[in-house]
Order: sequence, then C-alpha cells, then structure tokens
Amino acid sequence: METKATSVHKVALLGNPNLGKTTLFNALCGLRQKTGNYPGVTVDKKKGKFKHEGESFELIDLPGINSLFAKSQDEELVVDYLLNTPKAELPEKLIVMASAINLKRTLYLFDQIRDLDIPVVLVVNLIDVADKQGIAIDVEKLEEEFSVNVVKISAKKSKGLQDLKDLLLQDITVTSREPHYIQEYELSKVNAQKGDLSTYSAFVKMTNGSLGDLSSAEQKKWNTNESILRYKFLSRIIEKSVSQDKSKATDFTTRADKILVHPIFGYMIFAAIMLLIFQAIFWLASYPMDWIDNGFAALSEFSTASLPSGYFSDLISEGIIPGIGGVVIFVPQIAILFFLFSILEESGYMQRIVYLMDRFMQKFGMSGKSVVPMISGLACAIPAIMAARTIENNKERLITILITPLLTCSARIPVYVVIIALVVPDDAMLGIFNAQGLALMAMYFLGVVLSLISALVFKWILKTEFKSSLIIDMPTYLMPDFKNVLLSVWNNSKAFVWNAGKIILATSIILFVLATNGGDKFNNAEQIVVSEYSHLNEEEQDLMVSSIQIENSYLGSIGKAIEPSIAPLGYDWKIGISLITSLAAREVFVGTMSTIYSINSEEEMTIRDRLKTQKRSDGSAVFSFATSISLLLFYAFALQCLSTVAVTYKETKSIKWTSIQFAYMTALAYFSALIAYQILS
Amino acid sequence: MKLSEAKKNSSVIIDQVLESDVTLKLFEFGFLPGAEMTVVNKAPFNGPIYVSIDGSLISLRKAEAETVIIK
Repeated sequence: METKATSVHKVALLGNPNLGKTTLFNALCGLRQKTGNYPGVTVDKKKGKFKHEGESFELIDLPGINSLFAKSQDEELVVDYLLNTPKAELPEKLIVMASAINLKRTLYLFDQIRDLDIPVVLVVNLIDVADKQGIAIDVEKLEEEFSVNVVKISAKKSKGLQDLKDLLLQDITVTSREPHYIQEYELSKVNAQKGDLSTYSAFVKMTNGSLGDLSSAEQKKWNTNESILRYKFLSRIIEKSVSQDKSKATDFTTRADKILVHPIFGYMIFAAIMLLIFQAIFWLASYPMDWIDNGFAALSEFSTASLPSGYFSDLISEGIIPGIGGVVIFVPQIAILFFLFSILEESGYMQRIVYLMDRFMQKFGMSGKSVVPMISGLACAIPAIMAARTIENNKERLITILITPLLTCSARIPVYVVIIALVVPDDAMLGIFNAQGLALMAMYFLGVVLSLISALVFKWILKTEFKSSLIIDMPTYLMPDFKNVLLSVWNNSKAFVWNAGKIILATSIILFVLATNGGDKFNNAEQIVVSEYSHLNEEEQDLMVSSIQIENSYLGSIGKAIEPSIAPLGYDWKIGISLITSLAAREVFVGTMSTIYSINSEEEMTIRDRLKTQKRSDGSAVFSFATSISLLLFYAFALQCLSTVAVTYKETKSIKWTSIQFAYMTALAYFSALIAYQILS
Repeated sequence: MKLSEAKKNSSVIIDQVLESDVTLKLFEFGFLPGAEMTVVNKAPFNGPIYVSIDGSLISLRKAEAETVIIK
C-alpha cells in the first residue's frame, strides 16, 4: 500500500459566486491562509492549509464562476486551470459547492464539472437556511443520480465539516457518465478529436475554439444545446430529490428588496450607507488614532531619554519611530473601512448596488459591474483593478481599469487626514456632522466625480466591436458571517501595515542618512554660524545650525534641485522630498514628513502639530490654505503607486494603456494643483 | 410580449428566447422556454429588470429582456 503520511493532499474549491465559498474556506483553514500581498477582495487563486486525522491538506479557493463556457477573464482563469493544468499538478480532489436554497441553478456548474472526470465531492451549503424555508434535500438520491459523494453543510455554523473532511481522506474515483449534454452527430465529431482527453474536456475545448475547427455558429449551437439538455437533466433530478413545504417558504429577500431597490428609497439608502461609512472612518477612528499618535510621541521621547546619545539612537528615535508611527496611526481607519466593506459583500447588498447603478454607469461607458471594482477601489486600487475581470465587455473593463486609481484608496487617507487637519479645525461641526469628516467625504466625492469625467472621455475615444450585456444573480440576503468579517479586517490591516511598513522603514533609514550627511557647508555649519551670526544668542545659534544643516544635507540638495518645478504649486523643497519618496507609495508621504521635520528638533510633538509650526523664510506658514489645497489635489489625482502601475500592466498586457493611465493622472495632478494654488494664493 | 414590457409584480411564462449574443448566457441562468417567473422590480430610467425565476433571483438589462418572449 502507498503511504501518504508525508505528502500534502491538494484540494480545489469551486462554485458559483456568492454561495459562501469563502466562508467554507475560512472555516477549514482559519488563519492558516496565504493572502495576496495587497488589501482587498481576493480575485486570484487563494491558498490555505488545514489538518485532519494527521493528514495535511492544501486548499485552493478559485474565483466563483457560473459556467465552464468562459465569458469573462475570471471564468477563463478557472477553465484554464481545470483543463490545462498538467495532470501531476492537478488537485487530488475538487470540492464543488451548490446552494440548498437554489439547487437547480447552482448544480448546473457541478453537472459540467462532473463530466471532466476529476474526483469530485459535491457540498450543498446553506442547509440551515433551507431548513428554515422548509426545503428538504434527499442526499442519497443526489449521490445515486450523480454517482458522487454529497455532503450537506452549513459553512457559517460549521455544520457538516467533519463529514466533508472525512470524505477528503478517502480515495474517490469517478466513472465517466453517458454524455447527456450532447447530440449524436456532435458526439461523433468530439470522439474524432478528443485523443486522450475526457469527452467533456474535448467538448469544452472545441466550443471555445482551442480544439478542432467548429465555426462560431456551430460553437454557439453546441453550447446552447448543452444548456438546454443539462437543465432538462437537472429538472428531473430536482423533482426526485427536493421537496418544499410551501407554508414555511419565506420571501424575505424579495420583500426587503421592495424597499432596498425601490426607485427612490433604494438610492436614498445607498447614499445614506456611503455617508455612514465616511463618518465612521473619520469620527469613530479618531479615538484610537489619538492614542496611537500620543503613544508614538511618548515612545520617541522615551527612546531619546533612555538610549545612550549617538548617531544610532538618533536614527531610531528621530528616523524609524516617527516613520513607523506615521503608518500605524491609520490602522483604525483601514480596519473600519474593511469591516464595513466586508459586511456589504457578505450580506448580498453589493449586487443591489450593481443593479441600482447599471443604467447610470452605462452613460459613462461602464457597466453596473464596474461599481464593485470602483467601491473596492476606495480601499485599494490593486484588487479593484483585478476585480474588473468579471466585466465581460473589453471596453467597459478597460475604462474601469483606467479610472479606478482616481478613487480615494486607503493609502490616501493618511495624507488627506493630516492635511485636512491643517485646514479644518478639530472641533468644527456642520450641523450634526463633523466638519473634518465632511471634508474627507468631499475628497472622496472629488475622486468619484473625476473618475466619471475621465470615463466619459475614454468612452468617447475608445471604439468597441462587441455589445455589452448584464445578467447577474441577486443573492439572498444573509446575516454577514462574523468570522469572515474579522478575518477580512485582520488580513487587510496586516497587509497594509506590512507592505507600507517595509517601504517606510527603508525610506526612513535612507532619508535619515541623507539628511544627516552633507557636503562642506553641512560640515562647517557651526563655524559659519559662529562667524556670521555672532550677534544671536546661543539658543538662536543652535536653531540656525540645524536649519543650515538640513538645507545643505544631501537630502536638502535633492529637494532644492526640484524646487523650481514644484514652487508654482506652492511647495517648498521639504514637500518636494516627500513627493519623491511617495512616488512608490503615497502613504510614505506622512512618514517622510514626520522624519524630515523631527530631525534636529528638540521637542517631541505629534505629526500634525509639527507640520502646523513649520514656517517659510518670510515667516508665513508652509502649510497655508493654498498649499494645503494644492497638495490635496495633487495626491487625489497623481498615480503614486508602483503596484498599481504593475497590476494595470498585468491586467491589460499593454504598455500603451499602462503609460496612458500614468500620464493622464500625472497631468491631471500637476495642472489641477497648479491652478488651485495660483488662484488661492 | 417581450419580458421588457412585463409589468412589475406580474407572473409570466417564457415562450421562447430569441437568437442573440446572450442566448447562451440566458439559458445558463435558467431562462428556458416554459420557465415561470415573477417580475420583482424594474430599475428607473429603463434600467435593469429584476425577476424571480425558478427559485433564483436574477437581474438583466432591458436589451436582454427584449430577447425573452413571454406569454
């Protein structure tokens, strides 16, 4: 007998979107999952691990799809994985999920996958909800009809998971079925082409054009015949295996939708939810943010006091601690954002937004489906651009990708919060609303408006050959799973801190070194002051030494070199340095500012207070109203995120569109900042 | 009559689905001749139509609904 103890069992999870695949994935793997290194929804393959009876399993979560006849990029990814992975790398077993409350339609995908002749287990999820609605499912009957193992589960309540895991330990063999999805004369054509492929793999490849020479009219005919035949087959099975006690049936979802997608109330509720999200980000997060801000100031002070004085302790207390503090402070806001987002996703409301907004989005050359990438773009543009894969029409997808980075992502929050605090007083209220919260909302609004205007321009420029369509599921409303929500908050906050942290730690060290070294003038600062400013008292002389040093450090020289090009926007060389360092990632701005301004300063202050006290050579504040507005506009529009550039290239596979995106956003940023500063100053 | 012309809250049966680019997709979502459905909602300004068909809740654009002939 073969021993399996040392090998890892590879299992892949498939199913329609919105059935609770992620819930099952989380229930099985818990925290033992490898998430992408960017915050947001996972649209690529996701891997996790779990153990059962001493055996190790690797679980691969594939994006949700409706059919093996691929119409969008995410469906293509799954079909390609199932059909073109070399045999040795294919998972040992597939878990295909169907929904107990919508069995016939969700079995359609399973019925297709069943014919690939890969060992497969069918899990019927949401069994608890089905119970409440009086739906009874005969598992033995399903097992008999499909000749596969079937498990009823409730992923949310962790019911049936033991049975599923026990099944995964067993050896499962599948025998090919008599093809019921194909007509006689088609079958003979498939048999002539298939070689050593399974009949259905050959059928799928022939209808998607990667095998044989079917005309597109034939491909279409084969596919439509397939779906009619499969539904006939499924209707017969459902009749035998499902019964419903109609007296218990509830139509909570359609009743709730009487209000939630109402032509007037529906839109008001949507607007109210968005407003609530922004208020929560600002107001609710302000308490933990204050603690963190004060905590890092105290930590800096403590390390100054307790470490022996010298270059390295300066590096720690004036370079690294304020730099890291500049990132950690935004964790509460990001956590709240992802908390609310995953509730929108989990509850099923997100698809209602698609429905409500489709008509509106079409005016801008996009689809209702573009709303999901756009809303997740409010968290991070990277997964958002990837989420555009679900959009079938190429033009709608390209426009969505091009404009998504204009939406306010979480990396902009740190920059906005700091600058808004300089312009709008802390305790200002407008009616019942916090004025800073409203200012932040205005920035989000600006991002949305500009993205729509840009979309309109692209719609006008781009040509399309294909008609676009929209046919989507409206998932049943469900209570969000608390575990899923918390895991999403945890994974995303971790990704934010980790990614930003790495860049910020490195830039703080480089900045500190560049700021504390320099040429002759830097080294001779004290002599210059003693000889030229002998009339000043000792304290003023010290200050003068510091300012001569920072100005003549290597860092200062770089800032000075670019000053002429940014002076018309109202920026000095110190802001210029921050612009350069935040080219790779925007959130570095705050860390850079706090590092630059704490070097050579005696007092420990919070970032905001430090920026407020900065003066120009003529004595006016550096962060005047005009400069602050100009900076806000610059950060709103500039594509300062290398990861976004990389992901746009990956998704469009086009240097042209990647460059166009970078160029139009940079131009928008520079000129809007220029105009704003020139008008306001 | 076309599905796009059906009134909100009306219950209808699909007679046939006209040949178009989305025929297959409609079939895959269960829009097959003989299927019963109820119009749950219609989004304003000629927006998508939201139906309940054979236990599934699905919405589709007006252009797609025009290819579904009902009785």
